[in-house]
Amino acid sequence: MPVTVGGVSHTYLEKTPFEARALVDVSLEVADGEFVGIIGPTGSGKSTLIQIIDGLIRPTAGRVVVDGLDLSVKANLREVRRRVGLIFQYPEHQLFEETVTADVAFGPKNLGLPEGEVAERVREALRLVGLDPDRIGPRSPFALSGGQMRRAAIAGVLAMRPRLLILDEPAAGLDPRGREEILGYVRRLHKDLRQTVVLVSHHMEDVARLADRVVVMHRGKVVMDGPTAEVFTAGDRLRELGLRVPAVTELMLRLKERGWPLATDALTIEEAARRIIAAARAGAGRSGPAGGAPDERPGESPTGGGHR
Amino acid sequence: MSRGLTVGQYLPGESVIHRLDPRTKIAIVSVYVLALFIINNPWGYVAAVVFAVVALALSAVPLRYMLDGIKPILVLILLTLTLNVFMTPGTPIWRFGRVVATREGLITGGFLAFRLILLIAVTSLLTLTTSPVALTDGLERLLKPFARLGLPAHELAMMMTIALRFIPTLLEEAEKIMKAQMARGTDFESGNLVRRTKALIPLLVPLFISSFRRADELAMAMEARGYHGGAGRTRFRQLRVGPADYVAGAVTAVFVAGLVYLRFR
Amino acid sequence: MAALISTEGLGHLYNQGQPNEVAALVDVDVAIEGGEFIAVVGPNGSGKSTLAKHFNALLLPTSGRVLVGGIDTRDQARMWEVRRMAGMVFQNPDNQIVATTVEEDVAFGPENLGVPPADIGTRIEQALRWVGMLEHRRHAPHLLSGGQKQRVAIAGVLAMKPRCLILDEATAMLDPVGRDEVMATVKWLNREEGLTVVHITHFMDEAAEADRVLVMDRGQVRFAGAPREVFSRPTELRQIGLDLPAMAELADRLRRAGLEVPAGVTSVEEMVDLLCR
Repeated sequence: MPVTVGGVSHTYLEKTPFEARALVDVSLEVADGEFVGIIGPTGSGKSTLIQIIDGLIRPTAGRVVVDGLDLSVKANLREVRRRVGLIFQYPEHQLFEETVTADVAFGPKNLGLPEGEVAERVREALRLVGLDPDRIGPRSPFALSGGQMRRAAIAGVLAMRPRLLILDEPAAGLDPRGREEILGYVRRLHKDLRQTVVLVSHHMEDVARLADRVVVMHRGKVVMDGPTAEVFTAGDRLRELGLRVPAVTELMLRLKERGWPLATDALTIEEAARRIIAAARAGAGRSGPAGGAPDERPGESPTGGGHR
Repeated sequence: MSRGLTVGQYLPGESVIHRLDPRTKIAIVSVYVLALFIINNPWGYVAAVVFAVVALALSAVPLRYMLDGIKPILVLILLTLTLNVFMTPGTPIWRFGRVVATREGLITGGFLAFRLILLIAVTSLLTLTTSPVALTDGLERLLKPFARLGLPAHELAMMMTIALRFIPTLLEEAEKIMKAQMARGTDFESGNLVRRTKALIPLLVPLFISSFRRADELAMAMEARGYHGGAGRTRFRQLRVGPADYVAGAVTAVFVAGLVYLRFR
Repeated sequence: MAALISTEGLGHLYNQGQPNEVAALVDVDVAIEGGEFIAVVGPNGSGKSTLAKHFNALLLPTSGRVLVGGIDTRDQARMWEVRRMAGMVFQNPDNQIVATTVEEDVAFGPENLGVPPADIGTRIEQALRWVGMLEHRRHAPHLLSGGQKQRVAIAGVLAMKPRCLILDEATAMLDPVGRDEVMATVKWLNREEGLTVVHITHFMDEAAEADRVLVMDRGQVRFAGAPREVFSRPTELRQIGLDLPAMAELADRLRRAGLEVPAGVTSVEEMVDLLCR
């Protein structure tokens, strides 16, 4: 679902002593089927931007068109909110129904869908996040574990079958396994169902692993926008903006500085390992393979050495 | 966005009034408010106005802040005035069909409205010049003597402090949940009263749940920091009665004595 | 010398004697020396937080015992001494600040201890200076960033002059800047002031900065050791449901491919040096 944000600015509490400029002339496009990561320090305007795309905040200037619907037309707001699924931080804090099923059904019911369809969507949405509709559905959402609650809340948005899914820090506060699970489901939504996704996160490693494209925000402006590998390999620029470079990228950049003939655009540990091994075998470092049976051969990997 | 929101209407400053002990200020305002009700002639009102104007001038609070405090009760004031003007029997001064305005009514109504205005003006001067922290502190200490009679002075003050501390947090949270439910298609703005009330459930239930969670966590955090009620507790902020407090007290005493004289001479 | 905090056969059952009884801790023996920086990692429900809450008598053992500075935490009469010695900072920055200004909040602990007012002022100043929040002393807490709020919470504990600071997932809700702030503050306090730190966390890169890491799983300490040792056991960590710091993960892959990289490397610098040797 195409989203066009054109020259959008937003100022909170305009014309009061508390006036705060959150967005300044932001332009951005999201194409159908894309996975866009948005990164930037706290207060850089990420949260305001996604709320504007969902029609929850009306910008003080500029134009936003979501799926052909102009958001400056008030009558379009409801429809936009139906088509965009926005998942806030700690979404489990919005659970309120007595059962998981009822809570997940809340969104589709608001869409005015017939009961049969609602029930079907609830089951589908729960399965998409790995919750068994028959086992977990009838339980109280408040009796679930932290990770399950989070997934139930996400199912509540998925059940609306949004054409664009926006997630704000979906793995915040979870333990490593919970984190992997959530991100795994998000990745599958994108890969298997061609779900358009916008992921807002402070976690560079996650964005690097998942997104096709990364938008960097700083003080209310979009300061970088490009393919993931390109953005993350601009190490100095990111640091300048107060952002961290993923450890893997950092390593590749340093190795390159020290004369290793490596492509620095590795985004995952797997990719980095593959490249370092290949380079080491080609005799870059003196610490070549010390015999033994290597588990990983460069030729074996599906993505080879190229960038995805 | 509720970041700019402040609880109460405290206007930080360094004036004499700001620096008075909160207990002095609370006591003076209480006495003043009571004294307003013994006034029964114009001279009394003149004295009361002078007292308020002097206090305002000393506080260096801009007049409009005080007027802002009066605005919300303007309707009440007008209502009081109107009711009195038309409901008090006496010499008619204006007639509209069966409705009669009387001279006596105008006078009583006018005085009553005046009283209300002064009451609000002086109490808002108290909250404008005293930080919520100082205010709770002052109240706690003024109420302390009543603790022996079973009044939970410390607990009340602690509750007030926590309420003041959490109001902004809860407002922020309410806004967040509201937006999250709007993103799920809730419409808080349209429909009849029943629909709108029903639409509040997805907001209120999570808000209650989170408040309970907060209360639970806060209780544990307080316990971890050694909180065990008011007994044996010291206070960092010491309230000290200084010369200015004595002067203020003396001035108030003279003022009240004057009002009493005017009333019963 | 006796350890600052030690547990002996510590067990904790939630809802003891009821049908929904849960064993949160099973026969845990740990000893924490004064001045140590310990990280406790483990998946949700592994008992990390339960363990931490025993260190300052918020929870009492259902079997075994906990000694803090030589005091048995079950000793009701000395419970407040235990709480003073082992201060705790919790996960949600919003739910542990009591007062409406920063300094009033820092004063809360000392006030509870009955410290004379004049001393409270000095303590507030020192505590806020240590965490770098002195210039915010008169601010309202709700206007601070997450990292700043947690530093205020730390100051609130420091003002009680504790011997040990326990962070119960205190960085979990923070952004990277806030996490760095808190970690830098805590490491400084540990190094310069000799404060004992127990840091419970889900972030392995934070655990990598500790002197010692305790790995918990299902109510027990599975293994413990210096970060390098702990992170050179990738298979066991993964089995428990934990991940590795990125560099340790990479080191593991490189080793499996036959490269000469020691296991348990946690920093990028070290990895670069190793590869460029």
